[in-house]
Amino acid sequence: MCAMTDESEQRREIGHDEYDPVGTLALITVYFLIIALLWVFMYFVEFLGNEPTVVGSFLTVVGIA
Amino acid sequence: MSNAYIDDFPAEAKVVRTAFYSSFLALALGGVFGVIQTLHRTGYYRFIDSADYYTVLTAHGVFLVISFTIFFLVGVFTWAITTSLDRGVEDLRFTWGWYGLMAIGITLSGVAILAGFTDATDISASVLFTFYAPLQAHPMFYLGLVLFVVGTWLAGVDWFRSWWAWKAENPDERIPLPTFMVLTTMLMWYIATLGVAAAILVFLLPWSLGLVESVNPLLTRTLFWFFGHPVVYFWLMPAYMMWYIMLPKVSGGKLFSDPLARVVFVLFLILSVPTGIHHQYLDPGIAEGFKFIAMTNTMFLLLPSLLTAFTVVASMEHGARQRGGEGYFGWLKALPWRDPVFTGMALAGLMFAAAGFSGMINAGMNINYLVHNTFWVVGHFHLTVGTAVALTFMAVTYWFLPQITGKALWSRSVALGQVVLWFVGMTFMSNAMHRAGLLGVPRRTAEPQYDGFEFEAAVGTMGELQAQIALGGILLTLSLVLFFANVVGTALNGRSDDLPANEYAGTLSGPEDAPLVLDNLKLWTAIAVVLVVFAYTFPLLSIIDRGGLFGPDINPFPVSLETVHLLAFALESHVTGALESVAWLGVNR
Repeated sequence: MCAMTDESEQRREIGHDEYDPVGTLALITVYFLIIALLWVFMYFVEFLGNEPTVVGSFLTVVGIA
Repeated sequence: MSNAYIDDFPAEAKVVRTAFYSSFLALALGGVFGVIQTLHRTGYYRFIDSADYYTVLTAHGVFLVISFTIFFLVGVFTWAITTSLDRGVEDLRFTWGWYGLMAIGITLSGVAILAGFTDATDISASVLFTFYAPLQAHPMFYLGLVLFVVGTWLAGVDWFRSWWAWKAENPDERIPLPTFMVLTTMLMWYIATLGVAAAILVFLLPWSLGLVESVNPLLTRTLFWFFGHPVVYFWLMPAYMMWYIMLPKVSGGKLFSDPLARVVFVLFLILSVPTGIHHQYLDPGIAEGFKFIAMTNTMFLLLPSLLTAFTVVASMEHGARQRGGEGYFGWLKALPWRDPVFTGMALAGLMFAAAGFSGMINAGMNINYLVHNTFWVVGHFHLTVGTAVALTFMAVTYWFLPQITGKALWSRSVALGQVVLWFVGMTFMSNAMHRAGLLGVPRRTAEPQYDGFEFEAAVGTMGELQAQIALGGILLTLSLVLFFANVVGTALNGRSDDLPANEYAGTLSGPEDAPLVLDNLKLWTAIAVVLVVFAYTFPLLSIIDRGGLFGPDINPFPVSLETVHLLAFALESHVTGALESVAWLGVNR
């Protein structure tokens, strides 16, 4: 039952060997850059924008401060 | 006469149709509760008592992530098995049997939840989808869940039976890809549900029935998350299946690589379960080291998701290039954006990419402290299950409906509007939820507002975030209305003879390129079990050791390594004593 592509709008047939997914590479590179930038941004949100969290100080942990 | 699924498998089409309609009923109920709680939380319109908010929240969660998703996926899996093996189910009565069990189960649980709205009975189950102790539900809720899960187990048996029968007739063939996906997903599900089965049958149900007085909350929580994380992959795997075998076809191309798809599903089988503790980073009573192991496993799970991103996008690009697309980004324009099936799935995939980032934040042990139990997490899973899964399911429904009803789709334009509206609504709602979470706005809270305290937004205002969430909720509700209009409209149509054939995507690199070992399901299951044993044995032992099997007060049996040592010591001294007396007797005889 496994079948071919819907050929109504297909203009050409591209086989395994002649297909080079450069568009995928381009798109994934963009995604990677976005994620990397968000990761850097995270540092500012997490560690510079807030009071010390549980990781930080004894006083916060026991709720004195 | 067309070549639709219903023409080849009329009896199975009825099963799939019934499962889908059950799933849509749950979607409708869950959607109604969703908009009620959105408006309540944000303070725009509060017509229920805030105490009832938690009943609404439970209904929203259980109906959507248990009944909507799982009923839909058993339909998809039944279609996938019968289509790819080209054979009907082995025993139709058995198939209806597991469907019936699931339906009875979810009805019991659903009634227990909804009974929480009335004081006429003392039945209630406002324990949220995560049903942690010490929140206690009526036994009917737990019993219903057990029946539902057993139903899914039997469904898996049904699909394995089909595969075994097919294998006997085709001994030398590779497992067809869709069947491979169903089988690996079900193996993962069998391992995963052991946790929830133990939590319910050994602890929560006896406790709710009054047979035991207490439970160890941390133990039942840990068993819940043993199941609670892999269940998200149980929702996601059918969506992945659709991205692998339907999306390339509707894009006009072929699946880039069958072997990569198999690798991805094997990785999910291996890695899904030994990760649950990453939901418990803030639980005291579990050592940091165990949490670190769970984090490592979780990070490894990024691998199959990134492999999927590559394979699925490359398959779409193949379609676009066959349709005449050019350039590094220009090919995107050649994709069939007017086709709701394509657009829905593509937008769902895009949202999933965004969810990948918020998921990484959740998964990091130290960064998780920032967002734990905040609205951020709610934003995250509305991108994953709420969009990647739900939008994919709704989009493929537009392909499936003609296949299983034999009737043409009521309106393609309404369908296109529906999927885009969902995307827009979720963009508003989810991004605002993430941002609110960063400000510390809590999740699972009817009135997240406090005297003498204001949440302060670094960018924008709280009011703006609330408005975005409410607006998003309304748009999502409208989208649901359009979806149901199409489902009902299609059902009311007459039979059509001109339907697309029941086909899925071909492959550029087929199963002949995949190493044979990938089809060795026993091997992968064994590795999965070993990883689970590594990840969970010591945490569970140490939890039982500290808090007792049934809580701190009752310790009925050896619950710890120390007790075993004590028992061994007692036994040893008895035996030595006995031996000594025998020797003494011998000497003195």
